[in-house]
Amino acid sequence: MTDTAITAPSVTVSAALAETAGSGALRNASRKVFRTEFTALYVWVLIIGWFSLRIPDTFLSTTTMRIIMSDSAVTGILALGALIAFSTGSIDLSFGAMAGFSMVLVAKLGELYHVNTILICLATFAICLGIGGITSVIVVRYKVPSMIATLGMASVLLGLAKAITSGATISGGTSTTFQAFGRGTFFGLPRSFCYLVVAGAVVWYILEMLPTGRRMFATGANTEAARLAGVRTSRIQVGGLLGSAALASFAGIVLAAKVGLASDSVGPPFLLPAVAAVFLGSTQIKHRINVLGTLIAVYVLATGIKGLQLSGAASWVEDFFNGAALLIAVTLAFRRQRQGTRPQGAQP
Amino acid sequence: MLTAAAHALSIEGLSKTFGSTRALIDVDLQIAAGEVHGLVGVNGSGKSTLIKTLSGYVQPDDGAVASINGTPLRMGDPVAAAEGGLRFVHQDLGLVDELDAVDNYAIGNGFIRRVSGSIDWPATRARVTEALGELGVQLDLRRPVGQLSASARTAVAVARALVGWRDGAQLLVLDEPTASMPDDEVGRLFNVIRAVNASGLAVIYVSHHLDEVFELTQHVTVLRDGRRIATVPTNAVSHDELVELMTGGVHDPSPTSDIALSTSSPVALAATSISTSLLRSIDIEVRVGEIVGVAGLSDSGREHLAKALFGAIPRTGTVTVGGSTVAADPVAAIAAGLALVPAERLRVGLIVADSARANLSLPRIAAYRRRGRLHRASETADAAELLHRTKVKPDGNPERIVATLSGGNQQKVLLARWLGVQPTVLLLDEPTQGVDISAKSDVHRLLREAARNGGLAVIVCSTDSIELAELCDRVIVLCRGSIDAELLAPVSADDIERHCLTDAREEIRS
Repeated sequence: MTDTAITAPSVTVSAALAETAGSGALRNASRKVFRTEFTALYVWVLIIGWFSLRIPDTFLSTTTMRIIMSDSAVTGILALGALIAFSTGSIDLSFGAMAGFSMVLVAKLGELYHVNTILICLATFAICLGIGGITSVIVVRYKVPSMIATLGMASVLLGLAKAITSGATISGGTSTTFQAFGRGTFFGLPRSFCYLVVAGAVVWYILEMLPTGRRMFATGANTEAARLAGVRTSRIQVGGLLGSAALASFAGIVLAAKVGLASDSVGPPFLLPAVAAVFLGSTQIKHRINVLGTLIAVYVLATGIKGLQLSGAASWVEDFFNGAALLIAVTLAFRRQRQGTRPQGAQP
Repeated sequence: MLTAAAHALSIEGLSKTFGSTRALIDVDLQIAAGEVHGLVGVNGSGKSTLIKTLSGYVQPDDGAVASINGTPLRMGDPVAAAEGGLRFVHQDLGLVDELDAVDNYAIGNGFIRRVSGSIDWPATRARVTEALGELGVQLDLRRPVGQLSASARTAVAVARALVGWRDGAQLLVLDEPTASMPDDEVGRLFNVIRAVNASGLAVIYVSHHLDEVFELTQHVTVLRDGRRIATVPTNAVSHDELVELMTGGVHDPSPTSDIALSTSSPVALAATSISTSLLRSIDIEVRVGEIVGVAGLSDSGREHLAKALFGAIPRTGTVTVGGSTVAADPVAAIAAGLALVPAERLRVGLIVADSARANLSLPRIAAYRRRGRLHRASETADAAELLHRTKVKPDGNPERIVATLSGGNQQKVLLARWLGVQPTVLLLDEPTQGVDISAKSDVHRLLREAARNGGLAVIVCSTDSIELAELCDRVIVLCRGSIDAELLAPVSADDIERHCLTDAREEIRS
């Protein structure tokens, strides 16, 4: 019985491949496009081409480019955190709220204590990691499904953020040096974008170049098999959730510096686009969750939304676009999974 | 047209072919009205296939004729089987552990409802109480069935299978109902079966435990290699004769391993007082270069031993490798030179969505770290070498996704992974289950080579007696959690089966 379970997908794959080689030129072509690992890049080119023709003056400007780069950097950093958790098999739904909490916390601490900005950032970071630690104990020690545990923690964090702000915007919490940390440029590139690149490089190195990355993917794909192969799966799972918390906290600090103000409503809306990017990314480059695919996905989504906004589209477009992208990406990922080349890492 | 001589169930000429394997060959089976009929046979004799064709989930080959109480039955059709009055309780019972007896009873058969459509709980409970009462069972209807005793759970499953049986049920099939049942509960289950039988229902009782067959049945049918060997009145046959019928002496004594094991070889692994939920204080020793087999029926503890020694499941007792104690934890076990090839390779063995290379390197991935990063080239080279050595088909490509390999080749990948770690002791659980003949002989060859040339100590836990007879220097037979016998090579598959079937409980009872 186990045997039919394994041979079945391979049969489907080869049958599908044989079919691709055969009849129906149009179907053939469309199949190829949807199977290719670089679809997002083509879509990106199409989006850029379309808006360049439609609204060349506003879309094709360095300002727009910079805004896209910088605005999406926070989404990108959050997506990297989500990716770390997903790769170890946990679904983190709390990172948006965590970023929002981190943002108001760093601003509030800055307002209350006029000490070194770095100290304040470190304190914020430590508190966020502590909360991530609580989540991981709930998930790893008490075996609560990560999706539920982080959903609960997201609400707790939102509540805490509201308690800190008392419903008002914190405006006095950020010094000019702190704001420079989030605004400004390095070599002409927005700083937040540079942070994303550095964070992306680090996460990529850990996942793809270090033994730890292998252990993470193995844990995410089959925890028991990984454990029997000598992987300390509990540690890996804790690490995945802590990594997500750490990057969410960092994103929140960047956000506070960038915006200069902090409010409790900023964080949660980042959840969906980042999750969408991770899943869309898992259909790109490699047949599993990966850093480059995720970052490309972040920017494809951001470019599309920015273009629509500049074309005068209404405000509902952003939610709609992100949601649709998530649904399509997850459908594609699961379709492939059924065909036997399952993406490693999280399965919601 | 019912006659006094009508059989509760009559089957003639039943065959079933799976590919090139003939699982059932021209089997006839007659169950007299109102009797309890035993069905016995060693693993692979065709018992399960016979039950599945009866329940309609396996389509038999053409030519089989069956009838229930004289009424023709179309085989291979679950609906026809149910309507004809065949009822089944399978080994796993099919209960939802979290729900209570009332829910489990009513969920498939309908709750009693009020006019408004809401469930009439008192009436439903009364019905369940009555149904269980007919079986002579009383239990707390509000407890989740997962918390009930094994015999009570089986009673719930029997009651559910027999819903409305006064109207239509003709025959109840119990498939190894005592496999995971403590000794003291077996008697209670027998009372349930006798209550069913007393009201005129025929029962087919499938079991590995021959003492149960002797206690309960009027006739017994023996299957071997897909054929019906005999149907005899139970009181006309002795225990030894029945074993003889089941094993048949068809398997030759094993060709002993070609290279003799040095008698002076040192002890590689010593385990003392190993206990788990199934094992009771087992002591075991394996010497360098030795292959030790572990046989036993299901729930004998055989399925726990390899995992327990490796620390994959909670255990008590001491395991020492090369003189030093090993903690009950996979990481410590691997560090000490233990390796485990688990039974369910897809569920807990391999990461099937990943490449062969990544699966092979996982336990020693840290060793590939050079100058701060993974050295992919040496990882790939090692993988290719292992795949070549273990003859993984079709191409030995390290990047091949494991899910696209056949069962036999997946098993070779798993074996190659652990051979690559160069362990001191290799623990295997059902190493050739669901594996084709050629991969099976490859696996056996690899194990012999690793043991004799590589000095590996090997423990093979298997339900395949022929495999154990061919492969092992020594076979330990487990029974109800304890070591029942230790057989030295040359040992025949027959001997192993015989010892598995003759368990300690029988001696106590008789």
